[in-house]
Amino acid sequence: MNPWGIDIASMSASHAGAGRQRVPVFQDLRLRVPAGQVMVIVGPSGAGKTTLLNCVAGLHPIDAGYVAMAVGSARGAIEHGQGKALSALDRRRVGVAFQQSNLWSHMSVLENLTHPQVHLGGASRAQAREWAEHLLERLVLLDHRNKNTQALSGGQKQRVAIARSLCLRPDVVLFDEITANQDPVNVQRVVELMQAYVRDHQACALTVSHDMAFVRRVADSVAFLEAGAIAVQADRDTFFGPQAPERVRDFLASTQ
Amino acid sequence: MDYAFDFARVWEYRWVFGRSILLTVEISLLSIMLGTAIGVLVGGIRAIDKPSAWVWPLWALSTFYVYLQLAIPALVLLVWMYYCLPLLGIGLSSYWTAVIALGINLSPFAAEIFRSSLRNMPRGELQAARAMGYTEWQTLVHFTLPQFLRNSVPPLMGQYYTTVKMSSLASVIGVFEIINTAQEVINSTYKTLEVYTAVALCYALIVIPFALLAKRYEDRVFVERT
Repeated sequence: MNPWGIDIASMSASHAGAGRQRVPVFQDLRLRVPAGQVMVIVGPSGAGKTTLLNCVAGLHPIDAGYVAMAVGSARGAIEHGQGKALSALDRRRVGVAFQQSNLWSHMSVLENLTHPQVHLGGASRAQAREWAEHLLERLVLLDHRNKNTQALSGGQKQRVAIARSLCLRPDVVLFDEITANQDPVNVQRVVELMQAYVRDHQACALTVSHDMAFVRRVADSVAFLEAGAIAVQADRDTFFGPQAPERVRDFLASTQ
Repeated sequence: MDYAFDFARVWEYRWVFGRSILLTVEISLLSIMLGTAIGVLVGGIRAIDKPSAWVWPLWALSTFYVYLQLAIPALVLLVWMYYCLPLLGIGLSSYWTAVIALGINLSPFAAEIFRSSLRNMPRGELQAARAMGYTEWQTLVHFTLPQFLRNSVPPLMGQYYTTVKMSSLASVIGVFEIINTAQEVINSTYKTLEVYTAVALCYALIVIPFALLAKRYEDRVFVERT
């Protein structure tokens, strides 16, 4: 059995169109991410990158095929797909941080990270606090821990959302444009935290990004999504190197 | 101004006023409970987006109810219920007439507050809770309910004070609340100025503690959302 972090097999998904029609986003999409790796999905706007992440996260219905995660891990694989929703129990093993940080506005920064651990992870308050403070410290947010989330800047909120997505020590993390509001120093901190987390927990990260400087630093491999299909999948050096397919080089030139 | 104030004469009637304050609080609380309950029901129905054919009649009825009750003055409703219901064969005591009329008068305001609270739930935050792995029940208890209360309690409190103050209208149908008590005391003391001043103080005595309690709650849970 291959230790796949994420194994997307022949997945199809669609959006609601006019009336009762469904507009297909993907058909028969396949993508595999090995455990212990960070894969970044890049591609033009409207290619379906965010929908792909939502499908993997169980937040968008899958019409056909399935997604398997943490295959071969000690805790067992997580599977969901057509006719089988991702259970609340399995969601705890999938960390999510999206474009809108969606922090819980009735809790402090620290509570955003400890509440799930205490109520879902069975951690004691002290344990929860220790791990939460460690994560916040890595993203220089420790001084803000007792603030209301509304008192933070956009970039700070986004970093809290990143830290929160790791609070239950998930096997898989899914990030969507998490560096959009970060300055270069903080982008580097995010890169270091992601790489350390994935390495230490034998986890796997799937990230969507337009920020090529971030992609170059964080990615082990890159998938190029175009019009609902994975057009190119390559390791980082090949993807950004001179041997990359022309459509990739054109795309990269357009993002300069 | 050479009026000689004589509050000592009014103070002799403190227990009579105390009893009428209690009655006012009782009527207010009962009508607040009734109005809130109707508000939850009607507001919940009104919050339904694009009601299906089955729900539509209920939705239309709720909407009609809200607009009708927003239009009818509390005093008119009170007097109508007191004098007209018996003609239709429904005889209620003045006490229960006051409770029901004030409750009905509050209900459309409560309904609109609940409707807008339900419509303005932070969907992204609830989705984040779901994605984190909270069960439906945990999401309700730890996220939906606190957000709902945070949206609705502050505006609801304002309406509750209004209900307390409008309980003075019950004097016109003979409920022995503060105003009617005052009338009696004036009849035996002729201290109009002192007595009506005392009446005003009585309402402050009821409303201010409630307002302070509400303020404490709001400070704890109410923060601006951006």
